[in-house]
Amino acid sequence: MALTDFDEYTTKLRENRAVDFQMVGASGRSPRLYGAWRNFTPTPAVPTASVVLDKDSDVAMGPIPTTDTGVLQLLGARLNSSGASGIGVILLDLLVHSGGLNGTVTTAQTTNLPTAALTRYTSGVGVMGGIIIYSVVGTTVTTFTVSYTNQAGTPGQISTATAIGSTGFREIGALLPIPLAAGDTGIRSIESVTLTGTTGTIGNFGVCLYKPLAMMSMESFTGAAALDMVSTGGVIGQFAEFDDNACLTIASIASVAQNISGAVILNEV
Amino acid sequence: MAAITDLSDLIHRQSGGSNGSPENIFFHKVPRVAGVAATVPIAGRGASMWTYDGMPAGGLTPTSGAIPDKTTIGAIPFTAPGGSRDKHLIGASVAPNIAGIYMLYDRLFHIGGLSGLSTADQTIQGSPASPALTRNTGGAGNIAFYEIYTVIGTTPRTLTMTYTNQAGTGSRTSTIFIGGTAAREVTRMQRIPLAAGDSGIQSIEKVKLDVSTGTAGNFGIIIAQPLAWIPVGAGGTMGWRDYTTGLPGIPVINPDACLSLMFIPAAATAPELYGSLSTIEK
Repeated sequence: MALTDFDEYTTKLRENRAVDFQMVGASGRSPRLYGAWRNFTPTPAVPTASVVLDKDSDVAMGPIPTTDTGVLQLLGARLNSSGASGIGVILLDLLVHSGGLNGTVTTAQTTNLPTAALTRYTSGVGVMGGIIIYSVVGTTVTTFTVSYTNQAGTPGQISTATAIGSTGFREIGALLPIPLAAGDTGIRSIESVTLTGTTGTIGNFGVCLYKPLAMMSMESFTGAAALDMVSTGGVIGQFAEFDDNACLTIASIASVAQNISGAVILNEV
Repeated sequence: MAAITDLSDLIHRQSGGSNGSPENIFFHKVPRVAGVAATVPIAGRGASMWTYDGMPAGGLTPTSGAIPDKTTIGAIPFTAPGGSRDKHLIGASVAPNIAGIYMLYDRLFHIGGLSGLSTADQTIQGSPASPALTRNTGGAGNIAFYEIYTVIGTTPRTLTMTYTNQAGTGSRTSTIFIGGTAAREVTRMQRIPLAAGDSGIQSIEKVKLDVSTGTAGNFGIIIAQPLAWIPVGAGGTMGWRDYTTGLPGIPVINPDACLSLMFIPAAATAPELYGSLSTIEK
């Protein structure tokens, strides 16, 4: 059921149904996309299989408010960073992740792949994929491609080659976006990853699939960002709705390495 | 077009009421074209993201004149509005690794295969225009660019564009530099100014170089309708426009729009970025 008007909106904000999170380590790979959930506390485990994630996973914020019969939606956020520079925060539902891939192998790698079947956004429409690094890979620049099944269920789609290895593309927590093949609008599963050349170090990396929900801007000199959908600006993702079993978590794009803590504010409609 | 009545109407529709059908659209781009590192853009000069890899995949180099739409490879996908409703852009954001200005636009027309050697008239849409625009056909607010697909020559020259303005007046002409350093590189996208008094384009008949740039290369002409300018003050931050809290109002996205990005980088680095759009229907 939709919100009726501004008064109901402010009433819902006052209910303060918040989901908290805390990072203990600074985001790396500035100023590029970073899997900030890797720095949550307690420290999440490195996956050794393809794991379906949910609201109780160690990479999720939590706890998500228990819902009655309605649907959860985003109203805003209270965020704070350890520094006073800008950060773009991406709120997402992390669907699956895996690990155990090797930065020196140049044949198709299938360790812990294919990814487990999606339990949310199961068609794959709008589902994005990324390489997530758990232990640093090498300093040599190379490229990777993935073989995936697209949103239409077509297997064997090959992503276009993009960089892995060297500074900005090797650090723990680096989230390397997977560019899609022409005409695709999402990923249902990933079957293999292939490096063009060795990065020089084995490291440990894996893949993840996620559905972005909103983007939030932290730009205050104080590091504090109190944002809501209507009055402040800085949140793009109007009242995003999501599953009550979602693995809510964040990725970030930060101008300098920083911790982020805070909460997102939810509503049930 | 039905306007958003007030803030309560907006909130109601953003939360899904009255067929508001809120949609949040996400995209990312990596600094590569067809799997190869993208050409480094010129700091302070316009560049095109049309061919950049990502989600959506990069667009193809246009050949003959065409009207791209939301189904064209390279366009940011979205759901067309239902019924007779309009799709309103409520907010837009970009978080790149490079500061600059990022523009979301509807790619109304494009053509490639033009030569940096030829000093003859090079037909764009001709007269009468073919293909004619199918969106924002009145031309108000439409702007033109040249877009480089294969590097052209090192000699700076002048391009003259002959077009029909927003009032339907043909044979209007304007000029812009082309060729030479900072006006020849692949992905370079340069806005072409209009003649005095004009505020839009209905069609472009032809372009002409005064003298050869020295290399044929491959360039094209774009007619675009700007939808959102998103300034980003520093790499690693998120630039955003929220039309509920800021001017110029709430843009309407055509149901068939070919949404794409151009940018003016503050540094000579091909950007990697993540972005989003929020829309409602009324």
